[in-house]
Amino acid sequence: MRTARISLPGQTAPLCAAVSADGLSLDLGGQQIPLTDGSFAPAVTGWIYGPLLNETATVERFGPALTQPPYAAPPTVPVMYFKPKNTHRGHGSVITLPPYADSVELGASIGAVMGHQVARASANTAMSAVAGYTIVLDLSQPNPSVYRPPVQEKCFDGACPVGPWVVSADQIADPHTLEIRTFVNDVLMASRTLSDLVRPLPTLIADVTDFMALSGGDVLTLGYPVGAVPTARRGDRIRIEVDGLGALECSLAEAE
Amino acid sequence: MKRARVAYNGAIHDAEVREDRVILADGRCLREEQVVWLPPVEPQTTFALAINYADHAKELAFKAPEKPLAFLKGPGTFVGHRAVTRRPADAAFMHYECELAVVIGRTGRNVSAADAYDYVAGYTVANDYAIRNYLQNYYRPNLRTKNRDGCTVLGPWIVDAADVPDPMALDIRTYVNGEQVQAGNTRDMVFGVPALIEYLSSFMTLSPGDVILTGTPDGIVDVKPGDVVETEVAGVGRLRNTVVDDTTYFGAA
Repeated sequence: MRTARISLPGQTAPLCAAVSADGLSLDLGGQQIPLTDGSFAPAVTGWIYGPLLNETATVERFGPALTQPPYAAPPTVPVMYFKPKNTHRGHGSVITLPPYADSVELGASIGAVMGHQVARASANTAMSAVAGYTIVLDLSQPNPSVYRPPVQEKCFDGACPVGPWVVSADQIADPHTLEIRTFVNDVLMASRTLSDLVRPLPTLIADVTDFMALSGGDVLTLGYPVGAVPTARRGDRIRIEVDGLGALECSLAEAE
Repeated sequence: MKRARVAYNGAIHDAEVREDRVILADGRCLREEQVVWLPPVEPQTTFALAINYADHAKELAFKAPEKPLAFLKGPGTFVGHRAVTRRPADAAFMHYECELAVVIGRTGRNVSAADAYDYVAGYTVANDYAIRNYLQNYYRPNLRTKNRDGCTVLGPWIVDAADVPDPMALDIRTYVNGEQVQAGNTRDMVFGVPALIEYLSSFMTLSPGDVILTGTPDGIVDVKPGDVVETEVAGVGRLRNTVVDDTTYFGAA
């Protein structure tokens, strides 16, 4: 099942309901509501967390730097960051970059949506907490340093489109095998799968919830190769396709 | 007015605190130990400031930053007044941090420092525990150090902004088992409340219920299981927490 959150005129909050088989409407049983451009609210309501340095290739790319100042030693626990509520946007959003960002990294990833609270999970049982998956586009102002928390870089308004919907976990045999494709202005710029993760999803859930619980509706993304993904500028149209999850689109507003 | 959120008799209540009594909306009058104190606001996006006091920056052998060094906190890290906080068995150095917490009351974007106080609903006290040997040098301070479940104590209540005439001149004190171990004053912040609101709202929309923890002065010492830690901001409140070991925290299997 796919579940979308749709803003309708006059409603106090987006309507969260199943998407019809053809992907064109919300299916309320006896009533169908067409999905129109601009009506998609963020597909999730919880908190979104992402991991840094979660690909073997990224760790290799940083290489000796990880043992030199300011880092001193490679991380031994997950390095996590927030995408707070002010960053969440729905499918089809237009995002205004902050004045200090000439371009943004397109950190396309898959987000695992928790179905209930999970804390101190073991990797063996962690997947039972995952209710579904969605596409997360983690926009960030590029910064070669990962020493300080990326607040200005990753937390500006609109820095995290998510959606278009959540696909229930029973539809996805293994999220690590899904291909993630990044298009800028309809040109394919990058594609990858999550086959080389330092911590695949069960291990990531276990290691993160060792110190911080996740609640139902929260999203844990599987990260992206920081510093080695396409970038986009004002005026660009972005489309992220993931096998089985659909396509998340947004655009960056032209300069004012 | 002092506004609290408490659990009592199977329900959650907004309460007012007058002298040493907790008054529920329907007039029920309770003693402090009769209620479970919740964080006085359900924190939405919460910012914390690292090395935002000149003396603390010196103590930690860092140069004070040129722009605010902010990090975020999620909802699971907060507990209220009189709660316990776990010191894991492998913690080598766990310390409190007494901080003035600013609760945002109005949606704001590109707020100037001159207008910043208009966006403040009130103030509360935070104890932003850290376990220093969990620090690693990636997105430092990392979430394992600063976003641990139950490691940010908030409360006991919110004091309305109108009742805090000058939030930039408040004494900060921490007591461990009754002995004062930390002393400072909010006037020594590197970036004061107006500057922090201006900085954060320059790229993020601030919303009601967002919270800013403004950093801590020097005077941090290791705390052990059994220690009673009280963090106080004069004119705002005195927040109590007890440090416990793993066995006490998790209970017998």
